[in-house]
Amino acid sequence: MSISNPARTGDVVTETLDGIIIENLTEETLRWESVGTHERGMQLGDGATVYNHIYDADDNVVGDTVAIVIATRINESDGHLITEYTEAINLLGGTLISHGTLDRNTMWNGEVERFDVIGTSGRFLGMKGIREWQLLPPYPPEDDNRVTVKITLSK
Amino acid sequence: MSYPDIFIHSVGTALPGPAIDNQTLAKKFDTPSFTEEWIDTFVGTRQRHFAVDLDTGEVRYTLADLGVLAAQRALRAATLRGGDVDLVVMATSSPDDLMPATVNLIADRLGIDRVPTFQLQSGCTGAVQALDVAHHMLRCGRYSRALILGADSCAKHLDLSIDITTLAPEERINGMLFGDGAGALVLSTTPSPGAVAIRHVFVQLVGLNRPPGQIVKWLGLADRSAGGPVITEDYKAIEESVPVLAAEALGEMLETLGWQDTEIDYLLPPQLSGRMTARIIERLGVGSAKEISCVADTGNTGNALPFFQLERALPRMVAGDRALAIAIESSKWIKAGFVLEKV
Repeated sequence: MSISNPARTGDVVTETLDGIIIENLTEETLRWESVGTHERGMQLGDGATVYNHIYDADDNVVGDTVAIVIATRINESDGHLITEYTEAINLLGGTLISHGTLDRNTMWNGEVERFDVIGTSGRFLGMKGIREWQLLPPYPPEDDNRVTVKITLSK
Repeated sequence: MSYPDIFIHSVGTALPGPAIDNQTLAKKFDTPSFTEEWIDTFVGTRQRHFAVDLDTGEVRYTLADLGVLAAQRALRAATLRGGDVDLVVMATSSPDDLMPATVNLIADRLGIDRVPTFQLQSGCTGAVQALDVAHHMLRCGRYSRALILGADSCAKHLDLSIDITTLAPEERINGMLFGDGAGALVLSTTPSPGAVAIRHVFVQLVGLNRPPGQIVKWLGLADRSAGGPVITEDYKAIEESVPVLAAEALGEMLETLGWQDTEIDYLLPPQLSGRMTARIIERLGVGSAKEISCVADTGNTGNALPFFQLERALPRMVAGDRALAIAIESSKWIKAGFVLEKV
């Protein structure tokens, strides 16, 4: 796919003294392929491959991602569904891999979720940081909810 | 001398189902003074689970049953089997029997043998004490992988044949506060993806010249008719002292590590009841950290509480995140806690 130059909007990537902040982005799921119940809410044991686009504030496509998410357990104490999440992120400046554990219930209620992220190529190569991800309303989500994306990387 | 880091690989928990909400409990105990609204307001615990069937009085789960289930879940999450651990430490205030120790019955059912096992008799700080013992034993280099358990059950204290209106108010309230449950951790001397490092474990007895805040009697053949309540709690002393001791524990752990409270991302406070935890949080004043509590959903499960908190905290942590847990035991007054950092 072709992606527009994030520098065009001027507010997507900020260089700092010790790293890079990528923000003011949203992500939308284009395709969801799953095994198990096929429900977007997921059930224990379900797995899915998720294809997403990343947009800047002007709705230009500035990147794309592919994620694998697997529902691995349910918390005894609150019944929340816990999923393991790995995502490859392709932005104009390079690629990153994001990995973490996602509480699907808190995510669906709009809590900020955080994942470890590592730069794997381009200007992000070797950088480490955190990816923050928050589902935008309405809650519970409908099919086309976007999430906000912020990636903070350190050298 | 430097010691190796010790890592938490996984957590597993178990609750005997189903959840008993306040409406069900108020109906069961059918006393005008303990309405659903009263429990919600003054206890702040929404639900709990009991190993005893409230309708029949049948004990459906022993403490060993709950411990085995929690341990199996922790081991499975770490892709291990019972035979892969070389150390087991358990804390409980309510073992199934005085002998054999419940930890050894659990070990037997998990296929664990020919390794050292320990059972600590303790109240709300027992899980931290078990963690402390295992942490030290792993750091000494003699062991490589430990299973830690914390579990408690009210089964011996829930006599459904008793007319609750004949009990003293402090005895009645125990039925609202407590619940049954178990938790387990797998610790290792080697890191794994997603593991968190244990940065500090703190346990300190502060009961000198201080009367116990909680007493649970052990009755045998000779004194079974001694009379008086089996469990007594000094709720006034607990309400006054626990927030103070929690603040002390927080300060002492931060001082040892040379950290500021603003460097803590997740705070796991003591879990006496929903209402008490709110008071403690207010006293601690660590507004920058996200509170991880479970007592409103699980009831006070004693030695299992930190595991339920970890079940919620660990998935949220990313590299560099720090979590600090505090537990206070009011029996003979112990303050305790631990600090974790995701690496």
